Amino acid sequence: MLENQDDEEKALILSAQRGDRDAFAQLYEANVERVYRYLLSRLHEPADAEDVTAEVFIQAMKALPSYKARGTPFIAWLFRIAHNQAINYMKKQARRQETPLLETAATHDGPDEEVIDRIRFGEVVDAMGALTDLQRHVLSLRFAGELSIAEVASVMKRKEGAVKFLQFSALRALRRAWSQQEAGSHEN
Amino acid sequence: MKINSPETVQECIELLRQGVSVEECLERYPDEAVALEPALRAAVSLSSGLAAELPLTTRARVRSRVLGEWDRQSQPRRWNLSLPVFVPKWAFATAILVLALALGGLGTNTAAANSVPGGVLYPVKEFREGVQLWLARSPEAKVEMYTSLVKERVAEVKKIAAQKQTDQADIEAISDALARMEVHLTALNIVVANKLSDGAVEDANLGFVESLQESITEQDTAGSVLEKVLAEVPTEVRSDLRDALKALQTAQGRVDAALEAVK
Repeated sequence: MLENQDDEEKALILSAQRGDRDAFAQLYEANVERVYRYLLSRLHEPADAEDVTAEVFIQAMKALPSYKARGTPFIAWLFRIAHNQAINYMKKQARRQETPLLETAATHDGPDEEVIDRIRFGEVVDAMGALTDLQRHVLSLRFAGELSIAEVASVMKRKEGAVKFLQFSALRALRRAWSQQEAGSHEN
Repeated sequence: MKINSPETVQECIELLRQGVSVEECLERYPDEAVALEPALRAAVSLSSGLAAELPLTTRARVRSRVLGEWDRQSQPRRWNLSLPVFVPKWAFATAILVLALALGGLGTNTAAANSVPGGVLYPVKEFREGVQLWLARSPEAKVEMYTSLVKERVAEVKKIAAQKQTDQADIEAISDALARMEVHLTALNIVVANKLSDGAVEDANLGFVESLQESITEQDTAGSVLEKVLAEVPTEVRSDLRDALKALQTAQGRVDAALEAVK
């Protein structure tokens, strides 16, 4: 099954490299959700994540002729572009990054469930603020991008063992941050 | 006793994704339960907290923007000369080279020589370099050839950096040129090591010594150029460039040591 998926993806990539618009559209549909979720976890604002998601696929489209199917897996290649674009965007929007997330959630005009989701999302990214860049990166790739350990290793150009260690230390640090947040809220 | 290894956490995360609860997972690893629990609870919260859905309207807007860009770019895309699956890359490069020569392609050859990774004519350049490498039979000729290839890759990086673009294609092109440079340096080291092994030091002729001297000088220049370029390249490839500089220094040290050995 997985092999069939891989073959299908390779065929789509090849067709897109030859200029097949529909093939590229299918690659977009297959990956956009994960790319968007990853970018939202890095940039925090839906509008920013939307802008950068579009930019990621535009850059991927431009670089597609030089992509070699035998090298980096396509999803890892795409997430490297996403990571680079997120870094560039964060540099440009350094001030906006400071926007309090819970405030954004409170002013969201969606249904109640969406507001609750935004608050939960805000709590998660607030806690992730206590982590190092590398720890945040690995957790975003694993839990928002839903990449496998091997794919994360490929994106981060690290060994799988190193990624597992990073994931482990990041999760423990995150739990500590949450515990501190909870303790702080009880005191207040 | 091995406690709470990153490997066990990873195994449990996969189990959680298959629907196994944290409690069930902890039961499977009772010795590690106390240490595992915080990481697994964090993983569960993270999975639900980051599981934001991409709204359909956003999905459609982004799609329209991306495919709109595809349509705008479709005219130049005709010149990407994508290869059918059954045509090997070398055959394509040969065909281009033959065509270039047949059409009095001095201009094409010059254009190929000035091309950078990812460029339409780069396969011609690769093919020509491959032929030159094949023709370089003696160790000194190989040292000269690899040194010249290193110089060429540095020139490519400099050329791309001078355009001051931050497109993914440019980032990939710089990264590609640097990776190729490191391959040339490794090959250079192997040629030198082979020449020096098995008592071949005594056979080291003047030509070989001169090729090593020339290589050190050229690598010096290459290092200076890359150091200057470091500030101009996109930040994404700076670590690649630093790695390439280290590889250059290592190769220089080895060639230097070889030179001492044969003098």
